[in-house]
Amino acid sequence: MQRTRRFPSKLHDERTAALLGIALGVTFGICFLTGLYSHYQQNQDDALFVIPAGPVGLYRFTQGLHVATGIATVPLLLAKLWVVLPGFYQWPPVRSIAHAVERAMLLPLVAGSLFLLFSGVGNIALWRPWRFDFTTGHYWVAWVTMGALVTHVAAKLFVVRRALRDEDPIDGSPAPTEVGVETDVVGDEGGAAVGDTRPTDREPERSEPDDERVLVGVGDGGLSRRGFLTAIGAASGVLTVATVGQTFSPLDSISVLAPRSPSVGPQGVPVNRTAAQARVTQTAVDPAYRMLVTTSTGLERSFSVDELRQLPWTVEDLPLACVEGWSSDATWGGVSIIDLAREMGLDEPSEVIVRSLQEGRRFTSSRVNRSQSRSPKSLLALDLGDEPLHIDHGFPVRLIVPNRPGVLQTKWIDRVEITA
Amino acid sequence: MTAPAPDPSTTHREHEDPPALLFWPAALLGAAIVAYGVLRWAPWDSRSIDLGTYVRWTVGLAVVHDLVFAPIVGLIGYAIARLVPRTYKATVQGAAIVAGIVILFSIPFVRGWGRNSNTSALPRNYAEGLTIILVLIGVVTIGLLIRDHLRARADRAEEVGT
Repeated sequence: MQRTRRFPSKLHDERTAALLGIALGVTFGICFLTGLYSHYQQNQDDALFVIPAGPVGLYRFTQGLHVATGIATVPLLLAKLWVVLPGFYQWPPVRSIAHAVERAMLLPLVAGSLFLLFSGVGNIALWRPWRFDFTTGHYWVAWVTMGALVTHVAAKLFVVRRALRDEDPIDGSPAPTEVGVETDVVGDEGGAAVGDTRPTDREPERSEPDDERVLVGVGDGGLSRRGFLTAIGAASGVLTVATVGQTFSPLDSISVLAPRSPSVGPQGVPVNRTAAQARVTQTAVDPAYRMLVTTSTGLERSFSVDELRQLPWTVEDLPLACVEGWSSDATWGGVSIIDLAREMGLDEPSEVIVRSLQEGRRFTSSRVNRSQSRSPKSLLALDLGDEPLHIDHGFPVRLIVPNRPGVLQTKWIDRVEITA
Repeated sequence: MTAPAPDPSTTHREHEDPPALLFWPAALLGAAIVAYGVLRWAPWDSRSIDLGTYVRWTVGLAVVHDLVFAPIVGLIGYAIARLVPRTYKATVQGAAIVAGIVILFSIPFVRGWGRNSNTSALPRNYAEGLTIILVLIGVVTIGLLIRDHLRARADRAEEVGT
């Protein structure tokens, strides 16, 4: 009863929590699966499967979906936490061992969910006020959150079923049964407030008619459940439209909050790490530049830019797809890995490692697996559009491979190691 | 479909444990996965994070949500519920929800906290973008308020008529 006064809104109910819970289950599932794929991309060891070169836009799609889904989840999570907040203050705090376990798992669930969305949004906004490594933290906390979610779903499955069964899905307003037991079924975190029965659950000092719509004072006349869920859905929709243009270019012009624009950057393509940031502004334009190619068969040969331009030339339209969720179409010209291997006297490359002039940090080299290195679309690119690469795009030579995160499309390449 | 009639025996729900055969295996599995994630994080982090960093950005975030953010939202909600006339309350609540979430999301962009020397990152004027969205929300809200007003007037007219 006291809870009803402290949380007067009629929206703190089981059905609202259940509907939001289902939506969150779907969005977290999408983010987890696409996230696993991205993680595997960045930590390829060919143990599970060898990532193929096609469909060329697969990574662009999965990572665009990952970030867009995460953004759309922000309103859902805030709504869910608000709906179930009364459960946080329930008394007694635990009622059985199972209830204690269930509630204990809410800490990793709530903290993990907030962490994932907060760090994810911060990361695409390039705002990283934390000291941990984003990729590592985001990945492992995703496991923590999913583990907690497994327990949570098992604990709440029957509640969800009951909530969806008990009420008229057509009517947006809470049914009398529901509101009368509001404190009992506050949803996610909640069990029953002990001893509450329907009549005493209401505020007896109010002499209002026995109508759920005027049951509680300040909640009176406000949003119905349907209205509330519509508002949350609208917030998700607004955030999606306002950002998804960073990967879905038809919406670029109206995505006013997108962290990137697919056409803004040197040569009309965005950049994640500039030459200045990578400290290659001197070395990349060194007139003495040569690209050293070695093979597992013991051959070694170096190419100047002009010599590379004499090799068989390939032009491909391939997306540049960043782990941060933006992507951009571009036309690249260069030497395919296959052609370079043939130039070195190899029939077929089985694996290729490219190394950058860039020093220090991670991602200064990357490995192209046997499937992708044999794709005729996998390039050591020298041109973007009709021009030589801008230095921020990796002049003189960069890697461009289909279905691959941008962070692995190594720039400023000066060494190529081909395994036969 | 109609809502089932309120029946005290079914509407009052004592706390009910989930089915044990489903819950306990899932709880064990879930706890194992949670432990896996927690224990794997630090050893893999290239910056060798300390315990404080861990706690601040996980438990700390949840505490800030529950004890700071949620009460602020509650106060705003309470103010709207108390101050806005019944006729317009739902619309104002909905508008506040959408606008509030959009503002919250856009803060790091508008403030430009992540800006650096890379001009292709964060290339837009986000304050302007946020303003455009808020104006659009405002326009839709005004339309809905007019609808609320006309409906309420029609209802009153009906009452008088009967």
